[in-house]
Amino acid sequence: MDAEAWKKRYQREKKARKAAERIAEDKTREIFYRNQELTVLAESLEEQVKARTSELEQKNVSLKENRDELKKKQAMLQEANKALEEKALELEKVSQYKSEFLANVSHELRTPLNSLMILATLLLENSDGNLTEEDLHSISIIYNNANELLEIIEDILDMSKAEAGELSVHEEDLRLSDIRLSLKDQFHPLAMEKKLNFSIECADDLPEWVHTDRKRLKQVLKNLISNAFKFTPEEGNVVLSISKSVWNTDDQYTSEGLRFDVIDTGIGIPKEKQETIFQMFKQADGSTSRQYGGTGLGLAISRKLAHLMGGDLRLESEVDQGSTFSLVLPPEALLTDEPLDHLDHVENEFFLDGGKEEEKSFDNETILLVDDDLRNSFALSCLLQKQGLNVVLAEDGSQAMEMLNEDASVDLVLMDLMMPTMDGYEALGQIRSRVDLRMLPVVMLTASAAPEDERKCRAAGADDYLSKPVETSLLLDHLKRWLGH
Amino acid sequence: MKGIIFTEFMEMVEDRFSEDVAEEILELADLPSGGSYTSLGTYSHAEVLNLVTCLSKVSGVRVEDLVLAFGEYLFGRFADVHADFFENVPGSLDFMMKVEDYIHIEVQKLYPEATPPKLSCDRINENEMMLHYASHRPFAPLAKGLIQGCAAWFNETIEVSQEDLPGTGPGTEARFHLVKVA
Repeated sequence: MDAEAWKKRYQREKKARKAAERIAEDKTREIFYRNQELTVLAESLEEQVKARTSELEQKNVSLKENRDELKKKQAMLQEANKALEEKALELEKVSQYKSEFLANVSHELRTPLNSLMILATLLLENSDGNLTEEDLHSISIIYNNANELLEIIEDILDMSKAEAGELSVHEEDLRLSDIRLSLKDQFHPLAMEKKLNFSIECADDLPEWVHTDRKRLKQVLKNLISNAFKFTPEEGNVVLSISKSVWNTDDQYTSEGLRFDVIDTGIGIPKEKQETIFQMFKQADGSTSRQYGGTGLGLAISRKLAHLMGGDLRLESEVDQGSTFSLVLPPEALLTDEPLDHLDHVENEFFLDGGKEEEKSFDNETILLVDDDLRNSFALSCLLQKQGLNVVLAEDGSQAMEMLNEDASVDLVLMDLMMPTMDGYEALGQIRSRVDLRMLPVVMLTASAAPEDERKCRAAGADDYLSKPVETSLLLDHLKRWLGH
Repeated sequence: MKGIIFTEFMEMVEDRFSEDVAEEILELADLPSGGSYTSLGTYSHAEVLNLVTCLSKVSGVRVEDLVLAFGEYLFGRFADVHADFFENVPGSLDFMMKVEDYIHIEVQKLYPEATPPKLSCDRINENEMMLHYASHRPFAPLAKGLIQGCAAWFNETIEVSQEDLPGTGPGTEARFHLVKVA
């Protein structure tokens, strides 16, 4: 290669070096500027971070404040909650006190009413023949008013239970004749007073025993009959008809149920009021100037009870023609638990309506009557003695035990449940714990409206249980059974 | 086109032929840049084509063969300069599969203005692969040289069959069928 070529080569390399240096310088400058940019960016980022941090701090402070406020509110809410809870507890207590109070009042009212009604019944018999027609009329008014009072008490009790969702039914086997007798007993005097024809008609094919809630069935029927009496003018007719009827189950099958029709020839109920009267506190005539009194609870409760018993309460009525209230019970009402047990009691008595007193049907048996309420004891002993029974009295359980120790000739004990010193349960326990008294029939008689009391009594060894106020013929019917008549 | 291609080409000419040949082709080519290449710069690819043509004229070797040889030479230089790209790569086919998604991305990081060709690989099996080349530059033959340089670096024998595709002009697109035979 000649010198010229080397020179060229040198020039070229020099040029390339310069180009490279220039490029490197440009790159360096670029990097410098980039760096500067980055510094500025970093600074602005730092500032942004600072701003963001202070912002966050501020937010934090306000969050804290919010939290504190929330905490305060929460505490206040908790306090309010606590106060509410306390209030609720208090209310619950008050409500409980109220229920207890109602139960107590009802008990306290039933006891004197019981004696009042029994004595009135006795007087109405006019066995000495020394009472005038006017006297008898007054007495029947006393009886009927007492009875009405009793119903009002029961309605109020039931209403408070219905409101509390505590209405319950207690189904058992019972004799249809018990129902019939007690209704006859109760309404015959009233029919005389109001100059109404009242009769109970039973179909031929009715069973002796049915299965339903004794107390509730009676309550509904009583209510229906009282209503019929209330709204039927003098010389009118009120009939309770008991029969089997067709029961339509949910599917197409039909079966037989039990039906109670209360038919009157009263004022009737207009179509548009026929549903209203089943509502609480509602009456067909709700005005203050209404002709007929009442609390307006009866039918509402009755229908509720009918539903509880698995049945229904229906109404057919025409103004000025009369009304028919029908209580229908499901086929289960015809299915008794222990049909064989009941065969012993099958009776073919013909029922005579019209209140003719039966002949003395006892044979000087001795009844030990244990009751702390002297009015009651008096009324009951009058009634029992009239039926040919001996009555000895005891005021409480311990006295009763003393008398049983002294005198072994007692045939039956009729005992109240609630008594001072020694109550009915304890006395019952003592009687059943003694070998010689184990077979002695004990019939408990109490003003308690609680269904569990009957269960408790039977569990404690009571042979029978009747609740006050007891209808005369029902009591006698039961006593007859236990004394072997 | 990146300056390194030019500086390496000139290196090859000086190495394989002679400094005189290098001077001769530079004279002959009459380049806009005057041939003062630096690896930092960027130059028109027409210059390298021009130089190759001149080299062919001066040496009497076919242009295709020159380009191919340059490709092989270039790959060896890359391997020397960027040895880290070859770590944990078991064979030439595996390396070629990495070019598009790894090496070209690294190139682009260093030289944002660089426009490397599009390479896509379809590995048929362990020893067989389709490689698709597409560029705005007509350097499919250079690609083939690079492929062979790659195989040589890994001490492998690869059969390369080239199917030229129209692309944007002759040499701008091609499909290579590569079979490793040893």
